Amino acid sequence: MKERFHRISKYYKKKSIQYMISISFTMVALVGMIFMGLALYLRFIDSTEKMIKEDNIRVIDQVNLNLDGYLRNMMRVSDSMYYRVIKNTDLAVEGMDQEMNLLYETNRDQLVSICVFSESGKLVEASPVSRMKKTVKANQQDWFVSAMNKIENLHFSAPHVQNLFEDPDYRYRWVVSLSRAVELTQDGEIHHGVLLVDMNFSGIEQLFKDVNLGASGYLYLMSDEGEIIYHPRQQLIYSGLLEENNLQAVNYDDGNHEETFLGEERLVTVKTVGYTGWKIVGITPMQDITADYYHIRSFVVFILLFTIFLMIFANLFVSSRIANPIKSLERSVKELEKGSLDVDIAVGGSYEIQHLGKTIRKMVQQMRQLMEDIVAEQESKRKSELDALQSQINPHFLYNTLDSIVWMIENERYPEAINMVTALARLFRISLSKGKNIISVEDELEHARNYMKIQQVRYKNKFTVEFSAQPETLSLATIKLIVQPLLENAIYHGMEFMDGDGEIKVSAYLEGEDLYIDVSDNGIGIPEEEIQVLLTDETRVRGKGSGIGLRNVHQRIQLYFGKEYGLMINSEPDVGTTIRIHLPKLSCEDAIAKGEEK
Amino acid sequence: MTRRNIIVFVFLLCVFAVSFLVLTFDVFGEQKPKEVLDISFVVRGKTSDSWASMRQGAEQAASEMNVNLSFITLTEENDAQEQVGLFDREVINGADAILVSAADSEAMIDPVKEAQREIPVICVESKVYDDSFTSYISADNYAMGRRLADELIEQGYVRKNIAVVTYENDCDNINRRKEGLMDTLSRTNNAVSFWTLKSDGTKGIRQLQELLNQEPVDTIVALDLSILELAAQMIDDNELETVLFGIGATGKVAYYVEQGVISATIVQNDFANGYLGVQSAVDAIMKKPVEKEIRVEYRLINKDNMYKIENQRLLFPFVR
Repeated sequence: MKERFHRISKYYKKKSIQYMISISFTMVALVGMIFMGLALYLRFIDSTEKMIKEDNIRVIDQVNLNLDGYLRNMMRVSDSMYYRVIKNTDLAVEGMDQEMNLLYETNRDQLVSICVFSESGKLVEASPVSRMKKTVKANQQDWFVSAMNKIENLHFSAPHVQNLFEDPDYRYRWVVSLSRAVELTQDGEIHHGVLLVDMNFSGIEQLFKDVNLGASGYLYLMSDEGEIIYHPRQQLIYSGLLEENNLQAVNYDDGNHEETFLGEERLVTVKTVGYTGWKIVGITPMQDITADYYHIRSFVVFILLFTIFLMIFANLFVSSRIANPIKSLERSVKELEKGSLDVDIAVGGSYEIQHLGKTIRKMVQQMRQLMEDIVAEQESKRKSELDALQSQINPHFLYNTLDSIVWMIENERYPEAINMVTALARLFRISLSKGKNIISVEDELEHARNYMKIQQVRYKNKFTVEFSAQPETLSLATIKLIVQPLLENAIYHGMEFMDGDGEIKVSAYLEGEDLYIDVSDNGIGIPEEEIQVLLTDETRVRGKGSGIGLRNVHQRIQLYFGKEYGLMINSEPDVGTTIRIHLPKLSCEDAIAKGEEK
Repeated sequence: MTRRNIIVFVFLLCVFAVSFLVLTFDVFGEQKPKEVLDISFVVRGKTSDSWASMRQGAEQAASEMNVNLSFITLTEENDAQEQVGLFDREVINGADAILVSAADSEAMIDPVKEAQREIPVICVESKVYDDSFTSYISADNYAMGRRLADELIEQGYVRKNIAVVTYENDCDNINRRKEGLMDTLSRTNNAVSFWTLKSDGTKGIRQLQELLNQEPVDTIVALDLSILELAAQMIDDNELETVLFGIGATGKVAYYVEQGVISATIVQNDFANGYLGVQSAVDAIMKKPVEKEIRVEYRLINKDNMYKIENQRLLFPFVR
């Protein structure tokens, strides 16, 4: 279970922003909507059912009221007949017909007849006046028997056809009999008898007819034992064409019940009518109640789908507004990763995304700049080294020196030739010095000495040279071929116009952590303007001589050791020039290590 | 949003709008108001009383099943020609189904067959010989005949002269009753003769009187309701001693049974006949399966049992 959750969340995390926003949003909205829809729907169902149940009860209560009124009315007729008339009449002396007729007339709509029978079943009085059928034995009929069985009570019968009187029109009447045992007075003697009030069945029918419970609901009336008294489809039940669940309904208490009968779910509302114990039963098929549900259900579903649909689109819209700038930024960065620095970083979307974009842009620019700088730097480094390398093998110097040597040998000035060759050899050994960039100060000065030896011979001692170095400096590191170009410079520019009293001094000394090598001459000096551009002007063409010049030396020193080191030129016209080489105080190993760092 | 998205959005929006309209205005979903069916019921009698129960049953069914019922009686009892005319008229007038109680089981064959091609024809209480109708609803006539014969014997009518009276017309149900009656009676040693009446009403009474004068039998068995009624009236009016048995019931018949004029009668559930008749017609129109023969119940009614509650309900249906 937990593993699955992990898998899901991992899957989730990998997906893009837009996907995540969309899905999360949609899920939340969906759940919310479903909840709401369901809750509303259930509330609706609940309230509908309640309403219908209450409605049913109200209708049945009303019918009950009416029926109760009707029955009470009948009972009152019976009571009036008994207490007001029968009890006050001595049958031997007077009749009851007037009062009976009056009572009948007042209620003729609801009554079929009022009659009084003696204990033996003989008709005492009847209204309306009628002749009894010859074959009828009144005292054997149900209403008579039950009246006599329980003398105190009023008895209501089930509906039946009245079987008492002759009818020349062959009519027969369905009635409900209200009978009671009475005491008849005859000649002061008490005899028992039965008072029968036959109510017209249609009176009861009227109360129930056309009472509707909802679309297809109906009411029926049954006795306290479950026998149907009135049912809207009564004849069908008697013919066996219809079934009703009345025998079950007898057991229900007053109020609402739900039952399933013949595969149909229905709501049963029961109300017991007062004195008689009869029950009014209201049936509402559940279908009537749930018919609307289909509509509401589809409506709810529709609203749900619609809202979800809107949500999805709003979702897509919003999330794309958020995600698209991020996506284009991401795409630009991808291009960047691939290495194309020219990529145009997309800047857009909300403030934060814009800020990110702009920053990345600046970074890319800086990177580009730095890379260009590095390239330039490497380029110039390479160039200087190349130059330096070339300077090691300056052809002119070599030709001239070899010429001199050849001349010397031709002129049999062998010692001088030997000196020249030896010096030249030593010069080149140090020049090349196994390709190393860093040599000791000692070696550098040695190189310079050899150079000067050669030059002095060639320049026929136009000048003198003096080398001095503090002992501590000898083992320190320097870049090779920095002194010789200076000397070259001193010779060609300073000593040109000297006649034998040119002096060049080279001295190496320490000051704190700095190493200085001065190359001074007493030449004509360098004009102020030229000093400025000497170290910087790139347009200076390579002069005669072996060196690339001061600029090259200066650059190489700075390239290797840093901008704080390099050459310093001090010159006074006609007095002399001093070019100072400023280097850090580093042992050879340290310097080499530093080089490797770079 | 891309263009495609916008198109999809608008399309779905339209779909929703349409379904919303559909829902609110219940174009589908709502049950269509049920069609009213026109059904005609042509009986073979003339008085409404004798057909009252059947009419009630038919009308009950009509009100339940959204049917517009036309109940048509004849001017002359069992007038086959008139019935054919009325039958055809109803078919032409665009009835969706016809119920008929055939006055003459031979004469009605063709009209029924014709009509059955277009609309369902249901025979109630009396059918045609040809089986072309959709359904026949009735009590078991043969059994009724036999039951009546059994009652006759039970009441001790053996070695008597019995006249079995029918009308001239050829009615299948009457014939079946006769069959049932005779199958039992022939085993007794009663002398049976067969009378036919040409007309009903007072004329019929006179005819019957004449027949009786010609052949003074002890017992008359009237196999048709209207014959039973007029026979009873004749016997009662003239205070004859003749014993009367029959098939059929109305209020009048009940009265005579009670008076003892009619010794026994068999009554079938006409209410059910009418109700089931209309129900079958509706089912047939809706193309639902309908049984070819539907039986309803019958009971024997005599003076002693007529007020029993089950018999009351059959004998005296609630007349509205």
